[in-house]
Amino acid sequence: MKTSTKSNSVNGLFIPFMMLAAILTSCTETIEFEFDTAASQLVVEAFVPESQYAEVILSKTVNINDNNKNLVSNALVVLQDGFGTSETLQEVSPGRYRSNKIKGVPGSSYALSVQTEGNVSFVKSEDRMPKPVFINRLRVRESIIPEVEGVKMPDWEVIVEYTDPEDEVNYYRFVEYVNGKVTISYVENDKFNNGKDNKSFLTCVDRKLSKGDTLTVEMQSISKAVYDYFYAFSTMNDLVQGTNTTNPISNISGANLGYFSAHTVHRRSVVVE
Amino acid sequence: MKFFINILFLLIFVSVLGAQNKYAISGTITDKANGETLAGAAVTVDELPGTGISSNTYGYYALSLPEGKYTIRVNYLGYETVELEINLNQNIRRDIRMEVLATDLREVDVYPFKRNDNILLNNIGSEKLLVSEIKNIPVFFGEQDIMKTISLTPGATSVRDGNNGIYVRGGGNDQNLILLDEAIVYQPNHLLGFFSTFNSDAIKEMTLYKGTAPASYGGRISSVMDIRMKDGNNQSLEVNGGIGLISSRLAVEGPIVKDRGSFIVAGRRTYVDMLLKLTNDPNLSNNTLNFYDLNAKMNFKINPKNQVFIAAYSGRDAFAVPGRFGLAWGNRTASFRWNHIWQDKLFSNTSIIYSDFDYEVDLAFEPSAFSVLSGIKNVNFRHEFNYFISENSRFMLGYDMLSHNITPGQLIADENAIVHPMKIQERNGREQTIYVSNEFRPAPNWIFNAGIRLNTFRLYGPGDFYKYENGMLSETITYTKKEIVKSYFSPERRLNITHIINPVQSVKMSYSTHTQHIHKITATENLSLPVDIWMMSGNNVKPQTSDLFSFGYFRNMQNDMYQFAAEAYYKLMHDQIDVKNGADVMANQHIEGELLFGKGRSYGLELMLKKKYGKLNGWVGYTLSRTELSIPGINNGNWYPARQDITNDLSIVGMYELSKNLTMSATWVYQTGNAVTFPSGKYEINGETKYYFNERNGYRMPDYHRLDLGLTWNLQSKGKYRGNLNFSVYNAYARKNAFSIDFEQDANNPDKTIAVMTYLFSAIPSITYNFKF
Repeated sequence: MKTSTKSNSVNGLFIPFMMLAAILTSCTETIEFEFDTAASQLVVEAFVPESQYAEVILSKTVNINDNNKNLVSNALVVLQDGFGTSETLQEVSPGRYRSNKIKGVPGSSYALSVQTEGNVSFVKSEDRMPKPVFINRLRVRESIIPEVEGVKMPDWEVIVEYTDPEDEVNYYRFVEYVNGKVTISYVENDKFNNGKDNKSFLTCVDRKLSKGDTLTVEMQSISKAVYDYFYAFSTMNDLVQGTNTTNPISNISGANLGYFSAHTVHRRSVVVE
Repeated sequence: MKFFINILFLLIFVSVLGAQNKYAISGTITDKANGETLAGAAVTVDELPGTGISSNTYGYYALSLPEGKYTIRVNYLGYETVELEINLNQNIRRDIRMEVLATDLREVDVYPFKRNDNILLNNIGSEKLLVSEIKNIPVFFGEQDIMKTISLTPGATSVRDGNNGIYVRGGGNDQNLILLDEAIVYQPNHLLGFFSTFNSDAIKEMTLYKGTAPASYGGRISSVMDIRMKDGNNQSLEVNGGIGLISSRLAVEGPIVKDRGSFIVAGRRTYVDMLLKLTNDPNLSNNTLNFYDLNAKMNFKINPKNQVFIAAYSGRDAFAVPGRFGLAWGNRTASFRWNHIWQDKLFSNTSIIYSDFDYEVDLAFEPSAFSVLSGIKNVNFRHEFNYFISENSRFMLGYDMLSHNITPGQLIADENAIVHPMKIQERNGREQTIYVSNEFRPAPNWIFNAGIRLNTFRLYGPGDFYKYENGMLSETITYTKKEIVKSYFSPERRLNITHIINPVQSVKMSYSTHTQHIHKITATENLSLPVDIWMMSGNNVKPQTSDLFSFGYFRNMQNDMYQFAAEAYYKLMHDQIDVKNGADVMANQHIEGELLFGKGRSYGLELMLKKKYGKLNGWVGYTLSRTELSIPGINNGNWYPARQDITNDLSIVGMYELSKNLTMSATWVYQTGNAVTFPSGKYEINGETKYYFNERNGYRMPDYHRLDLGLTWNLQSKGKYRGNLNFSVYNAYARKNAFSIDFEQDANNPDKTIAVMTYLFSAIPSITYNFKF
């Protein structure tokens, strides 16, 4: 079984399936495995958060058992906003490029272009920040899903309540932190609950919580392209594809891997009791 | 070109219809002890070597011969040969009742007749299994399973444990037409694929057509699995049953009117949940996890010319945690059939058939409280004539109307629920087919069987129908009820040719085309869960089609003791369907925009050596094959191995009679690991390690192999009572066969990736007590 679970819009629907599968698939062992190698690919992570300076991280894929940090320096990274501002981002640390002028504004569009050293790669992207949606209430409770011996099920359940705007199609991304460290992130859309007072049911097998811990959830309104990108990493997609065996479709043209997201930011925290 | 091929096929029929007038001997062939009809029994004439026909699915045969005296011989495997001396000077009706061969007569030395049936019949690419002959083969938890056993023959394979059905000659598992007494069974598995839906107490036989099926079958492009229920004993009341560790069975059959009608009712239920109740874990003890099957059938011979059959099946799986959620799915089928003999040479069958499959998920925990439903059903009307033209020719003509209805998905929720109720529009379609085929012998050592199916499919309103261009919605058209949205006409060709070199050697070849209008998007590739999405051909999805060529050499050795078959095939599959990367398939009205279309090809060599008689019997089957797909949008459009691509597939099945009361059996299976996609690189997104996939299905799972052992001990019989104890061990040497492999970061060294294999079973012993009285 997968160690982490990223819930989707029809919250909890896959719990019965997961559990049924888990009951019968609980024997595991570590095996020797020989991995293939592949030519290095550019990975672009770019975001323009609401009221924060934009940031771009450039790296390259590495072989499975190599060090993960293969950052790309000396690239020409240009960001443009909907008000006509164009800025070449400064490399503040290796592979990390930061804006000094452009902060995210809801409803605004942004364009990104990246040219790596020696013009090896040239990639472009655009994204538009949706309207903000806020968390009304954040709850944490002990799991009500029964435990089965040998099956890893979530110990805690986190419920995020928010009101979905009725007049538009919305896509959300939630990033969960425990004591300031990211535990999990997940995406959902309003396909089944447009305009509802929604309660998102978020499960995570690996989430370790104790009394007194601070749990924070950041809610982002994201574009469809960014939703599609993150959705491809979700459990639901695992079920569809057998295992998660595809590279998500990127909204960056010219690069196969990564995303460019202009998103809103709203955070709420709760202390576990 | 295609037009001329069709005309050629039609000419073949016309050329043989002008046969001369003769007298006919006809009747029904049955088992003397219980009245079960025997399909495929060979009827030959001593005076006319190189002629003969076989009884049809209902055990009916007719031979047309010029006036004269003849010795007619009827053969059926495991039965004593029946010899009839007849003076044919008028049409004769002769029903034949065959007696099971006494066990001690089965030794090859005294076996009275060398049948060489495999050489002489025009049946390349088919495999027939009788439940009575597989009863000693060891199986999972002691349940005899005709589907599991058929996967031990070359060309048919199941991919790993706990998987979704059978793959035949590289075709997908949704490309098999699975019929239970003519009714389509959509989901042939229970409980994650560990058991099939076919309770062996109620089943008589199964025929797998992995090659060119007769023209009466159609609708799927890969294979036909024709499963027939028992008719029920029409001589005396009989009770069969079995008590096993996780399931029990009971079947009652008997005459309604002796010799004229009979019934059978058979039930099976698993009770994994009852075992859960025995545990002290309160979380487990109230859960539901079970399935049941219920088969019922009756037949009645109104008079010698009319017989009716009514059959029904219902099976359902349930998994529930009270107050939290429930999950249930199942098939139902019902059929009514009427056999009518118009005159001695002309037999007809009329069937009205219904079948459905549905699944339901109910969630009942805050904040998730709603239900999801989905289902598919069909109503089928068939009318078929068999015309026994001469001593070696049979003509078949039929009409088939099949109405489909699909409920793709429905969300049921009340006002307070966190989701809106919704329903994806139902879809309705209808297939109408006329088929003709003729089996004839242009020369004594040549047998031809040519057939054609003229299939028309229509997709009907009501509803909104969409067109997509490059995955984007381009047009929406609303249709009213009965309005035709899209129609397809597909002629299908079937040709089998057998050349008998001598009584122990033959070569056979076949060519056929197949069409499929019902498509399944498999929502769970890895594990058999019933959450598949069904759709019909339409504006965006073209019918799937296939072309199959096969060639075979058949040879018998040592007086028919050993039968050897070698078959090679080449199959082309067109308009194959796959889902885009990361597509949202659930309850999606626009699912057709999320699909990709491409082609497939499969080719292979299948070898089979069978020993049919003697204390030691069984078979060795070997398949060498390759199956590849090419789908624009996947793997840069290059050919890549399909998931079910298994290079080497070896099965050994052996049964040995230690003594009259003790039979030992063993099966061993070896398969090359199937093709899978695993990562070739990694990178970080938001500080989390993600894997980079370079090539579709570029890796292989570890090889699969497994040994199963069985021992059947017949207990002392008393009067009508017969009993046996069956001991079996599944996966006897506890091979850890990989079910899946997942990758994790090493906790001690985040740069390192470790592979974690999940396997389902170690050795599973079981014991079953079977009885009969």
